[in-house]
Amino acid sequence: MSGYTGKILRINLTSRRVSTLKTSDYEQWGGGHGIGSALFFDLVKDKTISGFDPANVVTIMTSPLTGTMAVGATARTEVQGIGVQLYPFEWFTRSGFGGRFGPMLKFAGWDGVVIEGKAESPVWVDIRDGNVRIKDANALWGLDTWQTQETIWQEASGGNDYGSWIKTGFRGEKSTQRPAVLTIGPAGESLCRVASLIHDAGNASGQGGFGGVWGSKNLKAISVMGTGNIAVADPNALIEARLWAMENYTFPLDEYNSSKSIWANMPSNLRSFPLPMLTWERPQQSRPQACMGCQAACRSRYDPGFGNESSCKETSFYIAPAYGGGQIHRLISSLPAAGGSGEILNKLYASETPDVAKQAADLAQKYGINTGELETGIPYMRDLYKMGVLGPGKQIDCDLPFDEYGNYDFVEKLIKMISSREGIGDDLAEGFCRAAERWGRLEEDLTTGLLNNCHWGVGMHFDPRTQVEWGYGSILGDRDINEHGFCPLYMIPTVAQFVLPGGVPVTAEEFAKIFSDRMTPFEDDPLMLNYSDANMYSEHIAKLVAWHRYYSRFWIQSVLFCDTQYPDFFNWAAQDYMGITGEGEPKFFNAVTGKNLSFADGIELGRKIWNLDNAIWTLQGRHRDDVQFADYIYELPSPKLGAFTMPVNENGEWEYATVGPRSIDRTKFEEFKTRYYELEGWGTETGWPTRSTLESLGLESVADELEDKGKLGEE
Amino acid sequence: MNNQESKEIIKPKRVISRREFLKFSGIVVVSVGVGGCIVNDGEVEDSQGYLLVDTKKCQGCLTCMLACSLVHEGYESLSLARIQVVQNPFENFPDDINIAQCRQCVDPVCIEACPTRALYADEENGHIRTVDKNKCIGWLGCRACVTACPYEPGRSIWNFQKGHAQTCDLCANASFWNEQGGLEGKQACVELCPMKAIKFTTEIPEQLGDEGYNVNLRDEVWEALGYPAD
Amino acid sequence: MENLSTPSKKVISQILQEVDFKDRIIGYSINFRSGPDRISLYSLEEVFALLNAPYPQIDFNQLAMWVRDVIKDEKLADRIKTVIVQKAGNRDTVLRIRDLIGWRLIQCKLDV
Repeated sequence: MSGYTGKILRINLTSRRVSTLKTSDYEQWGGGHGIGSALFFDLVKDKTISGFDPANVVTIMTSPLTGTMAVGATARTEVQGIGVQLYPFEWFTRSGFGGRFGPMLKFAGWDGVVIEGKAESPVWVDIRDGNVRIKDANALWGLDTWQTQETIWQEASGGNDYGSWIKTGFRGEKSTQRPAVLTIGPAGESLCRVASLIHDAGNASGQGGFGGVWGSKNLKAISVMGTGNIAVADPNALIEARLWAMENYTFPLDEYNSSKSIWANMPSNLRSFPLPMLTWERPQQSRPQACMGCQAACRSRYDPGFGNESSCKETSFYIAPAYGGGQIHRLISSLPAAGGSGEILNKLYASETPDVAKQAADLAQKYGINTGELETGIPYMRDLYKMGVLGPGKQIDCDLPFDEYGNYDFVEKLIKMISSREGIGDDLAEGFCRAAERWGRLEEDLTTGLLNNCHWGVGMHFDPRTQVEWGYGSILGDRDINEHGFCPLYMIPTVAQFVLPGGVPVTAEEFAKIFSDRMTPFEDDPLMLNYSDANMYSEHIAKLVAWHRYYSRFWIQSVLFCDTQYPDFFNWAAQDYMGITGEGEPKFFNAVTGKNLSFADGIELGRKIWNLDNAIWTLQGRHRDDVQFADYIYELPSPKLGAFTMPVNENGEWEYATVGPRSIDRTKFEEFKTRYYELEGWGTETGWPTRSTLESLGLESVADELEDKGKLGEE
Repeated sequence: MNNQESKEIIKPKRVISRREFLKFSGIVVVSVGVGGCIVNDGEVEDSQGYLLVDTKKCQGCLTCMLACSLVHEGYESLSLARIQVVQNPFENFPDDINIAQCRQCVDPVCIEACPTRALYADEENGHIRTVDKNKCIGWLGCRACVTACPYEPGRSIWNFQKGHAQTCDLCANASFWNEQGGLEGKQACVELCPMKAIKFTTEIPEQLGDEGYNVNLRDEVWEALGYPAD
Repeated sequence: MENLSTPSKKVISQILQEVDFKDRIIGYSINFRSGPDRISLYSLEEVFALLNAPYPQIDFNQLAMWVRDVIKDEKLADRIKTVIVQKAGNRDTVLRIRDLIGWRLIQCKLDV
């Protein structure tokens, strides 16, 4: 088996039994998410249980490309199980993370780990190649995620400093590498529904609340040292593929100039330059720091080391002071009459440290809390405070120092309160929707949009009213999708107005076709990318949503190509802007595995995985009536401000146009759901998969279980 | 940064063949502490090729390690890579990353330590220090070169899977890559490092300390990206 | 900041105040990977902070009205209107208004 190691580690925390599953039994699912869903389906008999139930199974899966030089697919790992964050249903869900944990698991000889049961007392799992031990974690329990990792590293090195060869086994195995550790922090230990899993300084499996799930299992950490090998079917082909990708789809490093900087971080396409995705100002004394095998880092390490490895929402969830200090400094120093700029800066911001945003990120990483939840939740709390309903002695009693809002003290206290469930922290640890429910405010605040959590209790990422594939994909699934594949369709036309003379270099029609041409089996329908009002509920959009599900489920979440880079449709460095997607993914997959999988094969496998996921949700109790956005998505139009410019086709003419303000029409959304279910071959009354669809995908046993539970979709 | 604790340098007296050793030694474990062991008393020609790295430019992606193992072994492996990158995610830049490449030392104590000349300077390839695995008796317990390397982590890699030592050969014998390696060809780590933080040179670096081997490969583009040029 | 005289102590305290919930102004910051972040702005300083974001979005006319009616700094409001009518393009307008507000804050915060 090339790519795969052939073995999946199965750990039952209740019995403390460690056993092995054969990857070959699940190989048809590709890797990552596909294998995780299949394992979950097999191992969890009663799928209606809570995520906190010991019978919940958490899978941590790699792909055959993990640990190899496949561009963008070396380092990601997929975590799945019943999540506890989502509201109002604890859906079977997923959350990925990067770094080096997945590769290290492969080097240790494991394609993944399956966690079942619950330990009697806190434990951690110490994996050293084939040697797996469940160890007492009482000394680790209570430590933050960074302290936990450092403690484990100390033990693994026998107390020696890293920088030498360390023996890891009895047959001469050795490594220079610190163990790769995935751990919960105090938030997970408190069963916070918004607790994450953290690896190294800033890799987080954030969504879904898997930190709380691990906490409920008394599982503190999994550590892995791997000294073994990952077989590659055709090493030369893999190297050639990598060089081909770099040469044809990225700019060389020395071609960087500032005009290219904006596109370097534009999702989603192959990255050319190591420009981290940050909201804070990046100090010069830093390096780009990449996940294993990645060609262009999306985060940094700094001097001093505040904010190491954080990126994206981790850098933006507590931004208030981030702009003020540094920007005022620049403003002042650019003004001729400014005088001593240092003195002025000190007078203006004497008590403020410019590193607050970085320190806030570090707190979230150390305590292990999902920053996505904090990003909409913190402003929500502040609005409630300003309304006079939340605060010390108020209707919602809250002992947070709002006079320090924007400073370190506020965010430190907030994060500690959530982690320890102290005071209002006990409400917040349930996630902001459940907290609002406790406060008697949920209905009102989801009608006005004061609480900006629009799908399954998760904060708005892109607006469902305008970026329809994002909203529909999220609500027809289990969570905010966090799949940026179509973002270029809205980001590029919007930003191009600011920075490109002449705007987007291709017409709206050409732009749509650059995407649709690769969207097999729907490549004949460029109207999938028409974001007009009239098209919002159409079968064209249904195909867009479906394709996005299939591609993401297989190529991103199973083969584990990084969402930052894939799908690569529109690529500034490529000839005619035609990105690598369609050709690149199977090239890497086949070079490593020796198989002959086509891009279209992968899309079809993605459809199979998506059907399995829907079957699981059906068995969890889903019905189409549950598939609803928060009220404000229907009641309020999308804002004019912040509206995106997108490709639109009205009356047969393509153009770039600002989309919105508009809302989702309830009735038309119901019609859209029907249309979508028809496209998928699911029952239109229920949204459940039908036997004929499942059998056409080779999922007879899934159909049998659904039938047994009376949950087969009507034909 | 590179730990340069020097180790006791053993100067063996004369070279013996693997066959003689097996015939006369009668012992399984050979250590440099055992007297009367083996010798290499000739001057070793300087290597005509060296790898230089820039630890401030490195992005810690370990692509060099993945590349090295793939082209030499035919599979991916961190433990068998002949260049090692060690990093601490919680440390401040620039102390968070250390790169350990073979220095192709002018005074190669690893060669001097090797009892069978398995580790030798390859005349046919610009005197690159390299291992002939057929002559290596590491499987019998000899790890003389591994122990002799004065740098941490040791640059002579013990291949615990195959039972022989191996060192960076500047890809002279990278058989899983269709490109020519060695002095006239390409080095996988140099080619594939996305940051161009590894450079091949024919000039002998300063042997004392690190400055000869950990150099500044950054330029105005690096500075334009917002990173330090010094 | 030519011609804007130093504000009186009373105006300074208005400029530096935090307003109530009902008096807040809403802005957006476009973030490449996470879309538009909606931000409630409760002070002129917070408006300044938003305008320093890479891609801020705020209704300029609404901002001028807010500065006049809520912050009660008529002179600053007038200057903002002057920039708006210049129709300099979105980016330039943002920068000019940002600089105006920045200077006003410096005037208020320093003992000048």
